[in-house]
Amino acid sequence: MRKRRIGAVVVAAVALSMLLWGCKEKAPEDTQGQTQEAAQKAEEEESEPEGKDPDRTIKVGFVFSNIISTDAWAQTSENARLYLEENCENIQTFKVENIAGGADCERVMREYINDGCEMIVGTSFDYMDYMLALADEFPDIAFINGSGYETKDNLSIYIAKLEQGRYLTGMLAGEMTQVDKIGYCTSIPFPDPIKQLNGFAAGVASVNPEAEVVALWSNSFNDPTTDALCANTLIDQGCDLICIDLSSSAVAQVCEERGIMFIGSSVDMREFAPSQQLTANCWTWGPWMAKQVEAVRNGTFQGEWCELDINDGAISLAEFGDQVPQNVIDMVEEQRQKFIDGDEVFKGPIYDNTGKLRVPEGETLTGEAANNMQWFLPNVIDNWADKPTD
Amino acid sequence: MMDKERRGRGSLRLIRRMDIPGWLRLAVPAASIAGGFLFSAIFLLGAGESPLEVYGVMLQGAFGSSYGLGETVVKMIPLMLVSVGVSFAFKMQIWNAGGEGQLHIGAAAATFIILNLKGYDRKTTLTAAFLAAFFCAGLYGLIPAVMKVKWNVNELITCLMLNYVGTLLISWLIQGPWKDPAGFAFPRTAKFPRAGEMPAFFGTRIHAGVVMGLLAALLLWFILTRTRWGFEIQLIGANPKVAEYAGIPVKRYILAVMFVSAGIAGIAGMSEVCGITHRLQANFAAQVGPSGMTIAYLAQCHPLGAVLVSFLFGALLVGGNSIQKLGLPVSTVQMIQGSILFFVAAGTMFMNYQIQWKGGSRE
Repeated sequence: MRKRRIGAVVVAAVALSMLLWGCKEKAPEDTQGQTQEAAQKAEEEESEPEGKDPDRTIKVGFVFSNIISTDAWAQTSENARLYLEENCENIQTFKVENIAGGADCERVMREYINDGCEMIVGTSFDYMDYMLALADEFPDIAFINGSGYETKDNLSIYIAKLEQGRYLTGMLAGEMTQVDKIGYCTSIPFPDPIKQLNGFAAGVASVNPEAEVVALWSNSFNDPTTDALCANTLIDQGCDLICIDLSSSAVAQVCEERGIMFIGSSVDMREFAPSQQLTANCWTWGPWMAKQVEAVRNGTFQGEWCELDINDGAISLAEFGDQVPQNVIDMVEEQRQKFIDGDEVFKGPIYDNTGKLRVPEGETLTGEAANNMQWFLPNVIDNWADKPTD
Repeated sequence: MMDKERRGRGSLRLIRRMDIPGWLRLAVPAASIAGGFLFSAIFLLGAGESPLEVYGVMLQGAFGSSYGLGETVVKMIPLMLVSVGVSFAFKMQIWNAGGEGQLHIGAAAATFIILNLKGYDRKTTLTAAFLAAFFCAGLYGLIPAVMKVKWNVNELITCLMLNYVGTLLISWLIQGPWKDPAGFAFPRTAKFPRAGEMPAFFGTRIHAGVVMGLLAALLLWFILTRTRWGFEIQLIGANPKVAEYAGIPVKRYILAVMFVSAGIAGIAGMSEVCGITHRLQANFAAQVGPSGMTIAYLAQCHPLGAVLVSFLFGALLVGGNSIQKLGLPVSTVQMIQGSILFFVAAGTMFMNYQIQWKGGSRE
């Protein structure tokens, strides 16, 4: 009796769910229609490019995946927003913070577009799918996303050759470490953080072939509890210097408390740790973004994959701490000049930590190949992702 | 002694209501929400903002257009499914705090089906994904249930632990075996084929998850109030010892209820990946698990109440994003959201208790 009842419930559930899909096979056309309508409307509104006043106020909407005040990566784009406010004429910017996970960004961006924004700036690869769809729907709106790989005619990706800055701080770390064991707190093992880790390790190896870089992945970009745990673990394992590639200030605070030198990330972190910071890898998008605003104003915006570098002013180091001797500063400055003159970070021959040749003699690894890295340099000690995945 | 002291002065008494009248169930939350707005207004005024403008934009964002209303519903869907699911177990005093983990397992199961079941039409694919999500999450919910039944392990603890296991499992899948081969190694799966996408309604992003949530709520409400099963579940919730003496198979109920409860939470995961993100990635349902428990509590484990409170939550999230554009920092937004929830939570006291002024006695 009971069994039969349960059976009936299961059958009913299956039938119901079949019904559910059945009744809306037609729905996608509706949404498509809607989308096209919206796109057409947008086109109509913007259909007179000649008539656009070049002195008009350009509205720019920013969407952040985290809370700006607690997230160093978000701060780099917030700094760009403030730069635009200060340095561009006739501009109005808006920001919405704490839009995590991606899906919500679509709503915020649509609201921006409704409010008359001509340029939308996203700051997370989670936004990619939604921005790609919106870019199709609103061909006259300029979209910019910080990180990602797909572009459209009206969607640009901005990233940077962050390995250049990492290399410089790697040299600094290789000189400053007393025990030849450097900690590296980082986020999620996908190519961009891996590229930065390898850039750092290359810098270390260039001045101190004995030193090893111990990497720890926290599995998120900003989780103060885990970040602090990573820092404490590395210090307990005997590292006397920590390089940060995380967005919270937790690692810096742990280092300050325990008297361990560290290298900050994204922005100058002395606010949280005034005495232990040697320097920080700082990233600046403002001037590049101001150019994009002008392109939008003139109607010449063209979506592309933009890899900024040290020559764009996108990559710089924060003021050096008092501990850093002048000869080390000079050495780092010298290398910085070399990068400005076109030197590359990843120059062959490069082997990975399993002994496989990755970059042959006489070749360099740049651009797309560098942004596809999934292996580690020989002096990287990795506890999680140590098997190359390709 | 106390009585002697009190005599002649009069006092406030809280008396538990035997019956909560229906109008009170709506009037108290409505008054609480208004109270939350009034309370926040003090701080907004202090910060030099006009509360009317802020609330206007908030309501406009959440309800002011068909799109905004649609987004409120979209945010409500996973919250509704998780809260309806866990409140079913809460009803029996089984603390299923594992909604987060079950949601992730459901999402993973659905993703596995969709990425591997190629060449079928939408009806078959989604039905398979739906069933996989329900059964896998249900089985996942059985782990704490079995431990509870066999060894009397506190299910609250095991459920909370399994949340980590569930989310970390997803983390591993998207960084390892399920990583999109064409995705430059970004940690997420490939985009679902069209057969794996739940279509959207009315030019918004509302998807079939809303129907699933409402049906689940109605079904559970029906079971709880109109069937012998429901009666026995409520009896176990009131006093498991008595229920056992009465010959009710308490252990079997624990297993069955946890299975259904977890299964429904799993559907929340399936509906998110199939309806909204169209792929599995980290943070696809940030905060849904914990919020779902809060909602179940605020709704006093009433399935239909959970639907209403989820709607309120959705509106708070959507409206909260909108007011940021006024230049309000996100902390102010969170304060408004928090004080409204605080008032709603505190308001439940007025629902459960009658306040009486006991005048000074002159016997």
